[in-house]
Amino acid sequence: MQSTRSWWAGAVATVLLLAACDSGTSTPARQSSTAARVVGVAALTPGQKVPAPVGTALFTMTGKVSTTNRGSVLAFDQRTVESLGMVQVELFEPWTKADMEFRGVWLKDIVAVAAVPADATRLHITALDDYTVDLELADVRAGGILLATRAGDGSSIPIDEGGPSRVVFLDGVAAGANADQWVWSVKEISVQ
Amino acid sequence: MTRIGRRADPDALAVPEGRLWHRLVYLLLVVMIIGATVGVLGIVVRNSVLLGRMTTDVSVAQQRATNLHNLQVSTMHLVQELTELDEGGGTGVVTVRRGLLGRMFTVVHGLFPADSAQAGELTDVRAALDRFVWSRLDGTTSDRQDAILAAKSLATQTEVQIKKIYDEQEKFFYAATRQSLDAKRDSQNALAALVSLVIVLAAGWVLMLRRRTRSRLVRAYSALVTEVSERRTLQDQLAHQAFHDALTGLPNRALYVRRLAESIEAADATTEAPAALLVDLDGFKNVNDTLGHAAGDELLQVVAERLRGCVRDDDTVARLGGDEFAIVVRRDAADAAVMVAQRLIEAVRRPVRVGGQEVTISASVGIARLGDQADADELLADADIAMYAAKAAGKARHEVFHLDMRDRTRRRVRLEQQLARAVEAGEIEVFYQPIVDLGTDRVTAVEALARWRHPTDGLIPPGVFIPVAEESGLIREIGRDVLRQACAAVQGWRHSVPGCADLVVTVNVSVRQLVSGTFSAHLDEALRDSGLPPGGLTLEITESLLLDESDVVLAELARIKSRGVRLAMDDFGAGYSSVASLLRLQVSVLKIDKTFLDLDHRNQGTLIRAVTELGHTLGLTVVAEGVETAEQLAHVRRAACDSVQGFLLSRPLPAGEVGGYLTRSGPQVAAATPAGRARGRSWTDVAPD
Repeated sequence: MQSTRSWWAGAVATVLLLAACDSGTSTPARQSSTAARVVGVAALTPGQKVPAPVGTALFTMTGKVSTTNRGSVLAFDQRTVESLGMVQVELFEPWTKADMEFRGVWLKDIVAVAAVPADATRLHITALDDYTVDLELADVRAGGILLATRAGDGSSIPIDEGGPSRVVFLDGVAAGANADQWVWSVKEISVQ
Repeated sequence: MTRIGRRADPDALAVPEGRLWHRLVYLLLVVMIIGATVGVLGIVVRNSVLLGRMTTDVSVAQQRATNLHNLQVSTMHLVQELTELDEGGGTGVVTVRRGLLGRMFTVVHGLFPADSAQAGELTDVRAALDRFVWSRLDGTTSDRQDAILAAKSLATQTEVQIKKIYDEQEKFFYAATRQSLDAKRDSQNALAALVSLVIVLAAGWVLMLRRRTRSRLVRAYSALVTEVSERRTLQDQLAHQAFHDALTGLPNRALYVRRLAESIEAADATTEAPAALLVDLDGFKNVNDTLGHAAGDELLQVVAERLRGCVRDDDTVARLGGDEFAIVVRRDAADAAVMVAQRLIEAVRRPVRVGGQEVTISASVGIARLGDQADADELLADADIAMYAAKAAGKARHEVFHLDMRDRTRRRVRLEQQLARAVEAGEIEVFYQPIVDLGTDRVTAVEALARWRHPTDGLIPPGVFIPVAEESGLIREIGRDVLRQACAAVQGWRHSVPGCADLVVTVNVSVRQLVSGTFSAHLDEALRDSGLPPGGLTLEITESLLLDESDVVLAELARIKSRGVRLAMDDFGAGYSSVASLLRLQVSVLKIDKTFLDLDHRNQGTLIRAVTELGHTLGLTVVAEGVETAEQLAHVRRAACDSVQGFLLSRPLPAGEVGGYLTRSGPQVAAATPAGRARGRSWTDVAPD
């Protein structure tokens, strides 16, 4: 009787172990330092007038924005948006499944400059191919979400690599857990 | 042995080791359970691994399919943009579309391993798109139309190729999904089987528990059986102890009587009646006294073994107690009982070595055949009667019971009972027969004789009751009583009757009295209480004393003589008439038996003279007993006997008449006494040794 009981205990332990292994394979642990390094001093601060874009606009902000420079729209060219203060980050890019370096502006700084009213809740982001993504403003304000305008080496990002501007998330930021949120070729940010 | 076997049975029920097929089934069951468990667990483990891989595959396939779909949509967008160029649109949109398409290519390409077919295909398609000179779209109108057409064709072809990869991926996705579902179902089935197995095991366990419970019950039952059987063993033991003699292991009286009763009952059906044998050892007491009880016990064990060897298997040998054995001869056909008796008498007679000494004893056997006896006790009583008859007839022999014996015995038993009562009631009287000195013609002594004055039967002579008294042991009480009465009476007459100051009393003493161990005390008591000097008392003994237990008797006689009491040899001439015994016993008085006088009738007193001379030669006072005629008296006188006793002078007188007789005795004796007698010795002038 004794041997049967211990045999069962062994069997149960085996099953539990297998189940643990099964669930463990779907959550690979990834540890990576995501240090953000300032590479450009913020010249444009909230409350200041945002100059109208010179030439083609990089992206536009619509909806609930208090700061505008083209009718009800706040349009940014690359130089203007980069004057909000540029940082360089290294992070894991889920589409290419590799660590990559980007330069860009914190999305929360852009929201601040746009003077978004308190009743706004989210950003509705549209890409050049009309792909859309919604980001909660609370997540944006919590930080770690970057609008990348350049690659790590300072060069512009071509369209076929997701340029000219794209949303990237620092490692461990919950809003970026789903790769579909990593919208590239941002055309318009509508504050809702 | 059977009991142990019975006790083992419940254990065989508790553990299935009793039969081979039980064990095999048990083994098979265990192997099946282990096999099933291992199998199910194998399936579960395999499916768990499979399912994990399937899940990964499905999610990858899904990701690829989704992205391929996006890639296809991007391609279609490009085609759409190119179509719009047909209608005079700007090429900037196409550039954007191409960029996005390139981005999608990069993403999708990253989803496939570098060496996979899909990756290669995607690379080729991408390369074809890159090779196209998209700047041609900015050319002249005619040239532009061709370029648009070519670009549209390329984009469409790309779309088709991507669709093809997408479809493949979709198929793989669905297949993987189906496999995954199958694996899940398999796992569920396996788990269901596992649950079933658990249920089966649980059921098995419950059964085992039940069996254990049952085995507990069985154990309790077997314990009970054990206890009961132990108790039965104890009872058997107690029964054995209750029915057997501890020393010899033979059945005891209770069991003997039961066996005898059984044989009597069985005898009703057959013609061969059973017989009861009663065996008493002769001389056993002597062995016990001289060699000790241990030797006596040893002797009894040897005898018991010999007796057992003398009987048939279905006969019973029992020890009734002491040196008394009994045998049941179940079927006394052709005098079997007598043959058994003869055989055992021979067997017992063989010398036995006990206590370092060789002893020889004998057995007296009484045989009683079943006749008119009502039960076993009566049959045994009759065997007892026959045994006493055998003892009386000389020992070391057997006697067969017949009805006369029973009558005699019954009379004797009744007599014994009455005698016992008589001693209590003081019915034993002492009579005195005068002994006359032939020299002085005066009464110099009286012989004390016990008489039983029976309330209804009158006076009973000593020849009737003395043997009974000796047999029953009453002789001690009677002897003591007679001694006291005689001493007191004679001392009284010594003082009250003139000329009788030296009167002597003679008292008969038997062997039984002498060996009782209390005789000396009784003697001292009688002399002390009466005040009679020891010289006034003479004890009469017989030669037969010497036949039994002579050492004890001689020692006792020596003690008596040391007190100053004299001894008389009674009945000389009736037994062995041994001169040696006269010397050994150191008697002072010789009493010539009556038979001498009767024999001497023809010899004119010459025998009497010879014996008297012998007595005188030995220095003894000679007394002639049983003188009944004047002629006899004349012979006695001529023979120069010292004293005379007999009916001619006086019959034994009751105490009340003695005084008177003594007072007036002289003339009658003198008249019957011829003159010129030789001077002999008298009772009184012989000093004690």
